[in-house]
This record gives sequence, C-alpha cells and structure tokens, in this order.
Amino acid sequence: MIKAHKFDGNLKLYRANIYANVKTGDDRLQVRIMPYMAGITGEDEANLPKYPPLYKGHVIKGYAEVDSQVNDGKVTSIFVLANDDFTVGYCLDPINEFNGALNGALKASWNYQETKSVLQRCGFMPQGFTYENITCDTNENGSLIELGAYNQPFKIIMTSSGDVIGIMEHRCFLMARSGQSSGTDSSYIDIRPTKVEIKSKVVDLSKSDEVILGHRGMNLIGTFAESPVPCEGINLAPCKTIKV
Amino acid sequence: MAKKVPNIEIPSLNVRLGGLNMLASDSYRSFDFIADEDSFLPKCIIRLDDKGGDAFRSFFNLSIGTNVEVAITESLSETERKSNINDTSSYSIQLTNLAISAVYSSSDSVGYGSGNLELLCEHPWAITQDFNSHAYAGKSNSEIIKSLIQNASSRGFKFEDLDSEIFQSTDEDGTIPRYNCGEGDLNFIVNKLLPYSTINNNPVVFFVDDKNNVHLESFQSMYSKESKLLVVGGDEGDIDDAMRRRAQTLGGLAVSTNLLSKIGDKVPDKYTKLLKREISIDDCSNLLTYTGKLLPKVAISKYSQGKTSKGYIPVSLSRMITSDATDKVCYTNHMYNDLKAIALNEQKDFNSFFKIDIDVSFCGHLISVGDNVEIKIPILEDESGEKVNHWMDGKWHVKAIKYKWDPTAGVPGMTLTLTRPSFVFNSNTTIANRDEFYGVGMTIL
Repeated sequence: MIKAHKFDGNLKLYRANIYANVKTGDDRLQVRIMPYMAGITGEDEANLPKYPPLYKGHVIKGYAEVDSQVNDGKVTSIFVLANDDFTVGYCLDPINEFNGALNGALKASWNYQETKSVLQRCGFMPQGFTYENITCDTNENGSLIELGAYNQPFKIIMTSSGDVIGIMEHRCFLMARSGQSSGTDSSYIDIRPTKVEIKSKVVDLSKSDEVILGHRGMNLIGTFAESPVPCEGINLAPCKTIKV
Repeated sequence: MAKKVPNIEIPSLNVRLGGLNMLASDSYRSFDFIADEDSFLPKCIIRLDDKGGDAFRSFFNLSIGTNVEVAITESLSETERKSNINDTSSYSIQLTNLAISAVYSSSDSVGYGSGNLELLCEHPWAITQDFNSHAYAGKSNSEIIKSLIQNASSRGFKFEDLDSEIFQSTDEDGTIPRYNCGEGDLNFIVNKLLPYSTINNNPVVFFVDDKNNVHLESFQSMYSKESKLLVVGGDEGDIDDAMRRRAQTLGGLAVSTNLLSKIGDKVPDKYTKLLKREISIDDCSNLLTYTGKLLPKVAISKYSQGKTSKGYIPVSLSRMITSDATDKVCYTNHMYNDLKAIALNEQKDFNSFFKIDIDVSFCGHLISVGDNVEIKIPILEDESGEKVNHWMDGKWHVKAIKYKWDPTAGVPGMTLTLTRPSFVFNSNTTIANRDEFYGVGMTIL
C-alpha cells in the first residue's frame, strides 16, 4: 500500500562520487550519491545535484567521473550531507576506506617515518613531533601533506619531493629540493629571531636593485680576476663567491 | 466534452478473471470495490463461495497479477444490449481494471473444506512500478508526473489519455531538480513530487478514480465544479417536485438509506493543530528564517440552496481567540519553495473536517471519486415552527466511493464518503448559534 509522504527536515550522511568539478566561479561539486543515483545515466547526468562545500571558504576538488578516462579511471568518493530528496546537500571531504572496526589497519595512512626523516635532514624537527600528536591533511594522490599538532604550535606543509614550508614558535623554515636522495640539490632559508640562515648553491640577488652587506656605505669593487690584483701597493683579493 | 451517461436502472455486477471467467453473482459473499483519494489507487476485495474448494484446488485464473475486470451493466435491457453490442457504453460502466494481488482460502479441512475464497485485487500500478532512475530539471512536477504515467516501457501498462480538466498543471518552475532513485515511479510521485506540488498555491490531490481516470487537482478546483447528483436523505416518499427538478438540472438523483457523519477526528489534534499553526521556514539558500501563522486555506461553495454568508467550523470561537497558536512546526533543509509547498500541503487534511459516509442507491454511472454531489434533507421545522434547512444541505465532495455487493438484494450498492471543510451557513438553517463558531481563513468560491 502506498503511504503518504511524511516530511523529514533532517540531513543525512551519504557517500557520493564526484561527477564533475564545477567550472570557474562555482565552488560546488556535482555529485552522484551512491548507490541511489547509480542508475542515472545519459542526458539525466547533467541534472545530478551540485552541492556547495559545507563550510564557507572551503573548496573541495577531486577526481571526477567525467574526467575518469584521463585519470586512469580514478573517481574521488566524498561524504555529502543531503536531505531525503537530495534537493539540498553539502559536500564534505574525501572518504577513507573502511577496513573494519577492529581488523585491518587503514591502508592509506600517511608516511610518518619518511616525513620525520625528511624533517630531521632539514634540521627542522618541531618539539612533540610524534605520530600520536600529529594532525594531518593530504591531497587526493598523496603528493602534498599538511601537518600540525593539536598540542604544539607548529605547522608544516611538505611535498612528496621533500619541499618543506614550516613554522613553529620563533622559527620559520623554507626548503626546496630535488633529486632522489638526501642532500641532492637543496636550498633553504631558516629564519630565527636573531639569525637568518640561507643555504644554496647559488644565492641570486640579481633582481634586487641594491644589495647592502654592511653599515659603512662603501661600495664593493668588482674584478674579473681569479687571483689578487696589486693596486696602489696593496693586493686586492677577489671574493670569488660574490658576483656582481 | 461531456461524457455519455449510460442508462442503468437495475444494475448488475459482472466480474471477469483473466478475461475468461465471469463469476456467477450468486457465489459472491461480498464484493467491495473501493476508490479513495487518500489511497491513490482503487482496490477491491472479492469474497466467494468455494464450497468444495474447487476453485482453490485448480487455481485457475487466480495467479498474482491476473487481470480483474469489473463492469456494472443494466440488467433489464437485454434486448437493447444485444442491439447495441458494439456500444457497451450505453448500458454499462467499466470500473478500473485491477489485478489479483493475494488469494486467501479458508476451509474446515485441507482437502475439501467449506470453502471461502477471498481475492484481494489491486491496481496494476500497485503491483508493477517503473523502477528506472531519472534526474529531472526544468519541468514542473505535473509535467514529470504526466511523462511518467503515460510511459509504459517497464511497467506493462500506461494511462492513455489525460483529461486536462482533472489533470492540472502545478505551480513549480522546474528550478529545483527531482531525483527518482529507482524507488518506483508511483512512490516517487507520492513521496518526492506531490509534497512539493501546489496548484494556485493550494494543496494537490492525486489519485486514480474508480473509472481509471488520473486526477491531479486541488480540492478547491474540484469543489468549485457543479454537483452531478442530488442525494436525498430519507426514502422515495420524501422526494418532492423541487427535488426532482433540481436532480434533473444536476444530472441524477439518488436516495440515501444510511448515514454516518463525523466532524473532527478521534485523534483530537489531527485538525485542531491546523487551525492556527505557527510555522518557521528556514531558507537555507539565503540563510534566513521566516516565521508566521498559517491558517487553513480551505474552500467552500457559493451554492447551498440560497444565500451564502460565510464559512465557519464548529470550533469554539472563544477558545480560538484565547489561543495564540495551536501548533508549531519548523521546516528545514529544503529549498524555500519546497518548504512552502509542504506547509500548504499539510493543510490538506482540513478539507475533510466534515465527513459523511452515506449509503445510496447505485449511481456509479453518474458520479466518480472527485466529483461533487448535493445533499438535500427534507425541510425541517425549528422550535418556532419556521421551516429550516438542515445544515448538511448543499454541496459535498465525493472523496471515496465503495461499490459493494448486497447479497440480500442481489444488486450492487454504493457507499459515498463525502467531505467538506466547513459549514455553509444560509439564512435559514438549523444552526442557531453561528456566532459561537470559529471562522478561519476561508475562501468563498
């Protein structure tokens, strides 16, 4: 027997696949709520719901169904909060796989050991950097990680290549690196209240109109010579690591 | 175009199962064919004698889904019937075709038994729905419903023609998408379209009537139509010339033999909650909340044998004046227009505040569910000896019809469920204390 509808004003949690990342100027995601909308095909797909992120200022993107051919078939699953008609809804973040309430570790956990060793090599190891303290956000393919601690004042953003931006109390750190192993081509700036440490194979200030290295108002003399040059009875020794 | 009314004076009940069997009328223990606006689709319960258990044993034409055809035919015009064999509409009405949905048999032994066979028959739509998924945008809800019910691709049947007079357009502009996620097209209509549909900002009523016509109307539009029948309270002797003339104008006359009247409901707040409901609509698009009082938007007819003054309901005026609100409801997490439609549709119950179940002689060829009838009770005299009309006189809406078999009389009879939301006060009715009644948000049509 068909029963008359009873109004339900609650939002419920559903899993949804991102169908399309909506175009510029629209921060909504077009989603396919699973499994309810699995059967919506053809022209009807254009009418799949477009929901905004739950929180203002937060933008969510992921691998979309419409682009699955260029993304090796990958489609991002997110949580959505929606009403029972799916006419109103909000997007939450991508969903973890669920491996069981007791059995099985989460397969896609972030790589704590590797992250820690990168920070150790940088010499930027915040206090309290233990797995138990750390909150973490990673992007969909794991190529960027954002770390913080619920009980310590630091924030670190790191790429899977080992590039690091970090801030902690009384210290800011910025490093870029390339290559497979530690020590290969890397540069960093380490800023502390009383000292800035810059390390790079090349420090290029050529874009600056004026570079001041002292307080005396004197100009640096330049020379092409690789060895000291006598001048008015004294030898002027070239500083070979500073080029002008 | 006006439909041809068949000539049926002494009705006869004819039932076919699977297009083959016509059950002998003397084997009926009871027959109840019920079409009700509230239950969307007609259904039927047939109880038969099956003394030897033969029918149940052979299970011939008793499968789930077997087609059940019901016709009421004129039994005296055999000659005319034969001469008009190709024009059955002149002597017969066909009720909505149904299908067997369950078979019950009871007997006092497994092998033979005393033999009662009960067939529960439902509309085919209740048995097979279209479970394809769709996402709709840019269409009003009535357009979506129309496209669904005229489609037979995965359901095996469709409704051929829709009468625009009884299948009306709804108000939505199509900006809110609708998602049928494989729940069945009828469930989708009932749960995901009707609650958000209005016609001229009035609640919608959707049902298949006893003649298989699909209705999508508002109570107001149905109630504004002329009555098709005069129902006279009493017996043949109470019918006077004025009544006969009135019946001729309307199209027919039926005599009531039994009446059960109900005002309000045994669940006290079913109606009282609606009288002065405070509602809050939360508009999630603009993050605004609108709060106000929603009074029943109900309709009564101009016509009630004389001058109409105003519609009142039998609720104590003093109680309503001292009550700030009779209910409080918050509507959330839907688009504003949907919430507004829900609030309006929840007022629909109020249209049945007055309800009468009335047994009448067979008149199924004259009226269907969704029509109106006019009740006329013989003129009464008040305490001063002045002649007054009963307050029940006037137009009533036919919310439900039950066609039933009377084994004693051997002819089909009918029970009508008649509703309306308010009194219709005339200058000379039996109601003496109208000023004590509450007049609420009435629209006089």
